[in-house]
Amino acid sequence: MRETNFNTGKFFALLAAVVLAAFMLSPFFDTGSGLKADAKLKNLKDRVSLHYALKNVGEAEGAVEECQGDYYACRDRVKCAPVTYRETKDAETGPANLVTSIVLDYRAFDTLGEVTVLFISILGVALIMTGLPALPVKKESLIQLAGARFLTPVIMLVGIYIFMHGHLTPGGGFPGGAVIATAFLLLFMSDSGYGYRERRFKSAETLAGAVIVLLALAGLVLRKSFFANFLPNGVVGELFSSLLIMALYSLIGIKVGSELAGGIKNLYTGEKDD
Amino acid sequence: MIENRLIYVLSVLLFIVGLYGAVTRKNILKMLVSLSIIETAANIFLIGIGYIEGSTFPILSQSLRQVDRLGSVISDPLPHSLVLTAIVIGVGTTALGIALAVRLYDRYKTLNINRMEDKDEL
Repeated sequence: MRETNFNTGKFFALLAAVVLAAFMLSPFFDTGSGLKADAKLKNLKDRVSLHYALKNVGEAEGAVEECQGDYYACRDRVKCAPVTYRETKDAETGPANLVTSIVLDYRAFDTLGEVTVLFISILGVALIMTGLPALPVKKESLIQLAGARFLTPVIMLVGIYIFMHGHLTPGGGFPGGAVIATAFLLLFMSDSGYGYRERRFKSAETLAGAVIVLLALAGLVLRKSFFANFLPNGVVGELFSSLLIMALYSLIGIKVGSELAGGIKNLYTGEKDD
Repeated sequence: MIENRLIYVLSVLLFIVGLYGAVTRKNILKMLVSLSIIETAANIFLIGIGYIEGSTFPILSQSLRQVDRLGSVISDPLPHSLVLTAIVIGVGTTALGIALAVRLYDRYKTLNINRMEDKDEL
């Protein structure tokens, strides 16, 4: 009885999947007179994102306001100076990594929400794991212990490098924090004598989060906009350029690292019920 | 008609694979893996929108010294940043799902949802 149910269920799942696939693929074969999005967007110069790349979003906004919001009518009026690596100075935003300039400057509020979502989900992990008995952990071997002690500082250094260079290279606070959390995972797995001090992790996380919000409020006070970039931007491509973004990514790295380390600890041994 | 790009078709197929897995698997961890596959498919689709023929990554460096008004050398950085957000949120939801799976295993000593139902009837 169960066997037949099992197979019909799979059959209907496959059928539904095929129908959905046909529906999702239908725009590729549709020759109707709908919106032809892709034809207009073949180059970056045809997209609004060009202004993120050229770091002149403010000017573009001003020009669009003059034309009553019609971007394509007045895009030629926007002044577009080229951005050059290690030459452009004091641009609207500093990072050489254009993705970072969007994530932490133009759309920084979005990133604040992202940090909050991660915080809440790790909080949920702690809540769900409350009162579970600890996993039976095998005693570590000598090689495991020695390897972990050798590798932990190296992994942490790589994590710090990743979040300090978030404005120059791929990476940033979230990957850097995740790498730091793997260092702690290695300690949990190998060193049974490792004393995890929960309160220190929690306070590092809380402090970093509070400073992020304070920096955002400082932007509100000094430049009349939440998360406004009020620190000097420097030369594009140098390490000490775009100081605000460097500070924010370092704080996010610390926050995410301590948060994920706490989450891993909870999954590994269960939250203490007290 | 959307311009036929292989990456869109592939992301739709990946989405379907993930959806089929999420519907048919009985093991909770396999369901979570399927959900991750769906998420990856959505991310690939967004990145595919951002890609421009013959472009390179949107990071100024020694090899990409200048972006000018023509802007044709780099891909669109906006979908990249949106996907960055999506990935982090995916990590959060996956962690929460795995925590729930651990909790269920602690209660039922199995990850198979059919056997969980059987144990509830007892």
